[in-house]
Amino acid sequence: MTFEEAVPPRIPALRRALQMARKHPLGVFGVLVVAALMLTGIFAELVAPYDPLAPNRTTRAFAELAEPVDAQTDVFKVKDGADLGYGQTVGIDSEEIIVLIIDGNTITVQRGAEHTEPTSHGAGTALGSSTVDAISGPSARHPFGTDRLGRDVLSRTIFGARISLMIGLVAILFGVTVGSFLGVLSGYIGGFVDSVIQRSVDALLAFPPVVLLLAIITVIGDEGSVVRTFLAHHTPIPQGTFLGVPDFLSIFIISLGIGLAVVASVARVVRGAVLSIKENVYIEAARAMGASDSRIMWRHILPNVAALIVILASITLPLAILAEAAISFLGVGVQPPVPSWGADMTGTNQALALSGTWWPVFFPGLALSLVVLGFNMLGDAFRDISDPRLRGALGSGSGRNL
Amino acid sequence: MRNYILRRLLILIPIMLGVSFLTFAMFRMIPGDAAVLRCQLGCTPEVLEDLRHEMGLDRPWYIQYRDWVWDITKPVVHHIGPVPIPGPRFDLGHSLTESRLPVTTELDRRLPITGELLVVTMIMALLLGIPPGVISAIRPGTPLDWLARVGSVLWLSIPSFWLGILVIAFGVSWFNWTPPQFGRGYVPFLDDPWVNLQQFFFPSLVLALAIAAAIMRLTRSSLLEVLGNDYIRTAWSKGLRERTVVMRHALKNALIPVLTIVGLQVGALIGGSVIIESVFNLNGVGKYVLEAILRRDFFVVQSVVLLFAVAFVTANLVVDILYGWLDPRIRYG
Repeated sequence: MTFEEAVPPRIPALRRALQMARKHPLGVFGVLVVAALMLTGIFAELVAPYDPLAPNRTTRAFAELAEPVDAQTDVFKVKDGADLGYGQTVGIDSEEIIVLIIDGNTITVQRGAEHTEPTSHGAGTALGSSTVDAISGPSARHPFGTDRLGRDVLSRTIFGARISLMIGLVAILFGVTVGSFLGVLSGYIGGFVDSVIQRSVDALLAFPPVVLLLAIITVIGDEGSVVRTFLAHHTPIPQGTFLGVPDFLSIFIISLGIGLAVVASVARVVRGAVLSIKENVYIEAARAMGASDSRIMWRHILPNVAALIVILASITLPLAILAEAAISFLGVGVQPPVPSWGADMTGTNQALALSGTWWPVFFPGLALSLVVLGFNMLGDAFRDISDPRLRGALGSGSGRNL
Repeated sequence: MRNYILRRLLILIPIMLGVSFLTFAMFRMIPGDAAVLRCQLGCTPEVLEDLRHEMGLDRPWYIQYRDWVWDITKPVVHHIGPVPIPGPRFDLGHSLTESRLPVTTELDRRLPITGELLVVTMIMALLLGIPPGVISAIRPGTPLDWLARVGSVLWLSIPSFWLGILVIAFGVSWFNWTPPQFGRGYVPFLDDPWVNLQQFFFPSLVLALAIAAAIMRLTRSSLLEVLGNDYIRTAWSKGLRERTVVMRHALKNALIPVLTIVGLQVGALIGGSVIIESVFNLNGVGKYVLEAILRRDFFVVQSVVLLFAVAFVTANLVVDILYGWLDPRIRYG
């Protein structure tokens, strides 16, 4: 008599993923948004149609040269259909000229106006003018319009994704690492260490989150602050542009500040988990076998809170992105002209929005909202899948929000 | 009960000291202080020294902190009307700006604004959070439930400052309406209720949405859980009407976790007021502390942070006391 082994049917990973996606359409939306954020953040140079910092100019040609001219002559022959006026200043290559006499297609000009150097020009060169294309509404050339300095809002929004992503990731990496370390230490050792850490956490949590962030970043971001001086002189953190982020040191310091604000809540939650894990029999067994405290903490306890730490990181990442935008909005975080969603919504852009120029403020905010929405939906779906009992229970709303 | 409240109030003292000292210490770590920021053109070391002396920044740091604490706690007799009441002095020190305005004077002017903002916001958050939460819990799976849930995720994700700017911008261009605080100052409710409500309606609404979303989500899940209990089935089988089952039997128990969130959200609310006051041009405490942080005016910062911490801890104490009213099984040890 033989027994057939009961093997559960294997479902291919792809089909399983599709099943899951059908059950959680909002989660799929979250995945797509987060993936889009990552991709645009990483490949901003390839995605953005214009330079986020350079003003865009519109050029208009009034006439075209019919024959080449050298640097000395001041009589130009232009093609038919010229649209020039007496006394008009027009540009030709890098030179500016003033139209003095118009006689049919022959014009007499003054060379080298506006402190430019007369040079020779080939046939077909355009005589024209260029103006900064400032505050133009959404159009085919600039889908999100241009701001007061003629910068393309779409390109700024795309590069803003990079700053958001960079600050969010560094902040979470720092905050969750330090917070988990303190939490494990506090929960496992207990006693005096626990009291000191927990009372500090109490004090930090009694601050309103925004005020704490503002204070920390003002303090460590100051020109002469100890943290900045130390990071600049004793660590390899680059001070100029790094990974396409201008003024990387300042951005890094802002991330540290946001991370620091995360430490307290992470330490508290991890400590709670460690307290219950500590009572397990396998910890006692490890101790009976002569394992040292540090081995128990980092080899036996830490892996068991790892899942919790990952969940904490996923909840705090959108909060960190939101925090960056909020403090940049208040003028303490990322400074202009670096493209940041928060910083682009403040100052002159904010004032202009009140007089009808809504696009430089609207689109960065829309991007920010979409990204946070994506993360929230992803988090909801993740919780639904991992524990259906919690359906809708613990949004990121149960954390601290801004 | 009395002992419990007393003990909780006693815990306030170390928290207050810790929070204010932390703020003080943080701002002492920056080399550039308020004197450097004020001393701009033609600043010689002598002028800077004089300024420091005038502001009291040349004293050792522990003396500065001790004097600040002592000015608050020194026992004096207050005269409120004809009644002499002994108590601490509550002198929070002076601003370090040229005006040298006492912090207490500024707070007198600004607290009503922030207070009204917070109260109106909380009321709105409860009104926008609990009813949709209840509806979506008693009709799970219906379009109404779906609408409430999607709405809540949406409100959680939209940053308040962006929404605030959009409200003002589109209010101007579509309805030619600006919140009345642009151009004129704060109008107290008793002076002109209509203008006052116009001043606070949108800032409170914008600030309330995220909190309402959190309250809604928690109300829904907590009510769903309670509705599955045996005593609810008993209530149904007695033939009670749905309204009675939900409102009288289930909701009271379901609101306990919601209350915790409300208490915790007070912190987020205070933080949010800093942002929203600057968007909506309300000269409240939040705007005061923001300006003070930018000016390194740390006596102001530590006073306001102290105030915020007290408000936060007190709100959570009130929540804890309310538990006992909602659930008589809870005893305070």
